[in-house]
Amino acid sequence: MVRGDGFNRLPMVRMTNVGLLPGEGSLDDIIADTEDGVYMATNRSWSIDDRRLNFQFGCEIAWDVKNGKLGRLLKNPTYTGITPQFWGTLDRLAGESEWVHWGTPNCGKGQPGQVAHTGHSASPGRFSNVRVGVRG
Amino acid sequence: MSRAVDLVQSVVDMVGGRAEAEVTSDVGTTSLTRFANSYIHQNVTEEVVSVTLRVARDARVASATSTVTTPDALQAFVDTTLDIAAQQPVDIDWPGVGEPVDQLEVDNWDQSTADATPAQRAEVVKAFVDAGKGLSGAGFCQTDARFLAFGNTAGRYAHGRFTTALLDGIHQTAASAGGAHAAGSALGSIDAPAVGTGAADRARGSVDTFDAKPGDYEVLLSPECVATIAIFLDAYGFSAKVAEEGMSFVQLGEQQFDPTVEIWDDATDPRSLYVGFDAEGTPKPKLDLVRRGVTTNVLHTRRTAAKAGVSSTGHAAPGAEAFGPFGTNMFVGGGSSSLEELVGDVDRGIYVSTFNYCRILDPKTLVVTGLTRNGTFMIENGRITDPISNLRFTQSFIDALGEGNVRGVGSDGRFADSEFGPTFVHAPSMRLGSWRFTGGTDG
Repeated sequence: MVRGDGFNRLPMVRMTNVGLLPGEGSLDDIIADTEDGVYMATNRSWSIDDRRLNFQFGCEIAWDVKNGKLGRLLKNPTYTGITPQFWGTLDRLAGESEWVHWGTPNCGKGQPGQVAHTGHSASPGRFSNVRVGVRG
Repeated sequence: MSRAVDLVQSVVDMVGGRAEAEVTSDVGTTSLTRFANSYIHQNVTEEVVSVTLRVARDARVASATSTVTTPDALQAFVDTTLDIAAQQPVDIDWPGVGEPVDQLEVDNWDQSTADATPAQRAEVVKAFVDAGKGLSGAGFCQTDARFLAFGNTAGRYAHGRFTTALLDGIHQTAASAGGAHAAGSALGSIDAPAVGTGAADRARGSVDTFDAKPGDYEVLLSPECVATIAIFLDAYGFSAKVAEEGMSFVQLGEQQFDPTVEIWDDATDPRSLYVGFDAEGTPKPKLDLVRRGVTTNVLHTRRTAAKAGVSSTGHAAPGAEAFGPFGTNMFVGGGSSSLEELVGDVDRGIYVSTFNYCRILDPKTLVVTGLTRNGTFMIENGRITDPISNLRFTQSFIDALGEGNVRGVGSDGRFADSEFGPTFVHAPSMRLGSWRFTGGTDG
């Protein structure tokens, strides 16, 4: 799919509606099924390299998950990885009841710059062996 | 100039006594010559005409922008904006519009750049491409010529003009890329062969990279990287809005940086780009932000200044009311060392040509993550040696310029591309004692 953000801009490739089909169960089910992990919520910072391989994201808030229950609150949570390895560890994805078509209003690219709305569907997921808590 | 001034006066008159109003008009051209695979594939010139209106009716505020400037359309634009304002809640921090004030003498205009033809931009592109024989070049050459005018219902008026010229490109081999960049108010000031040679050298030198182990390294940062640091300090630290919200690192009067660090904003510097007033018609004289490592000032708009009980410093950016103050004429003070001398002083470190996709992880300490791109090299025993694969860093930009960590400052200051654009920061190379790389191609 290609589109421009105005009559005087060249259309460019946009991945406007790429999403994940829903899985099964709920976020609570996934937490209950997790022995030792981190639950991260509300992404607020995103950075990825020019090959879309090495990424690092920051979230608003996170909690420890211990023996199937949420634990202490974590400040400035981050997670990082290599794209195909990260997605290869996805082993749980919540079902349709928590499936949301998330919108991104400010996807920018091009020269001169163009801004577009994109949408990506997802429900909460669990990934294993993810590096978290990167500090500067 | 007269069209921009006339548009402002027309809209001010149309508002009449119905509300307080600020009007800005932007009239001119922006021209882009873009190339890929060493061929020009796009040549566009856009005639820019826009009018931005901010009105306040009993402190109920609305803003709008229009690019349709016939009298009927402008009248409808004004009436609609006033109607929208009437629907808004009262803005308890509305500072009012500014009184008339003497404006600065700033004229960053080069007529030959305003008159630049596609053929002249193509010559610049050719020089860039020719500097990379056997390589594949891509990028753009852009020239802008703009007239800006401002007026408000209190009788404050300002107008100015500027030209800008940019060359930004990469050269590529089958396995590597190198980038370089130049910007100024005159197309004739762009040394295209030097920019092309810089990109080509970085591309050729990056063919066989190895994966350096992440960790703390001494680094030599190019002006582009230093400009990125400065623009993050600008937007997320020196902004009085951010400071007022408790999200800034700024502690006025404190030694927060190495004594060699000097940062200021100055629209009157002959090297500066753009005009000498901001989106509220406030003049933009020189403002020291860091002197000998001591943080001295923050940037204000009329809104933040009124809340703080001070005067605006002239840093209201067009269309950025929600974002807050923003410096667009930033300078990072230069040193006396050549690039060769800076490299020669490093026993073991990393030279970084460009940062890419930098984002804040912790605003208060300005911990930022991002990557290297288009040329990253080991420095060993005072020489640039092997190219390395791109690395991810997670680094406090405050600590990076902290006391004792700045080991050298280059004499090579120039406008350098940052995450926010290529014309906002004039910066030199810097040698920093420690920089934290937290990931590589393996994670």
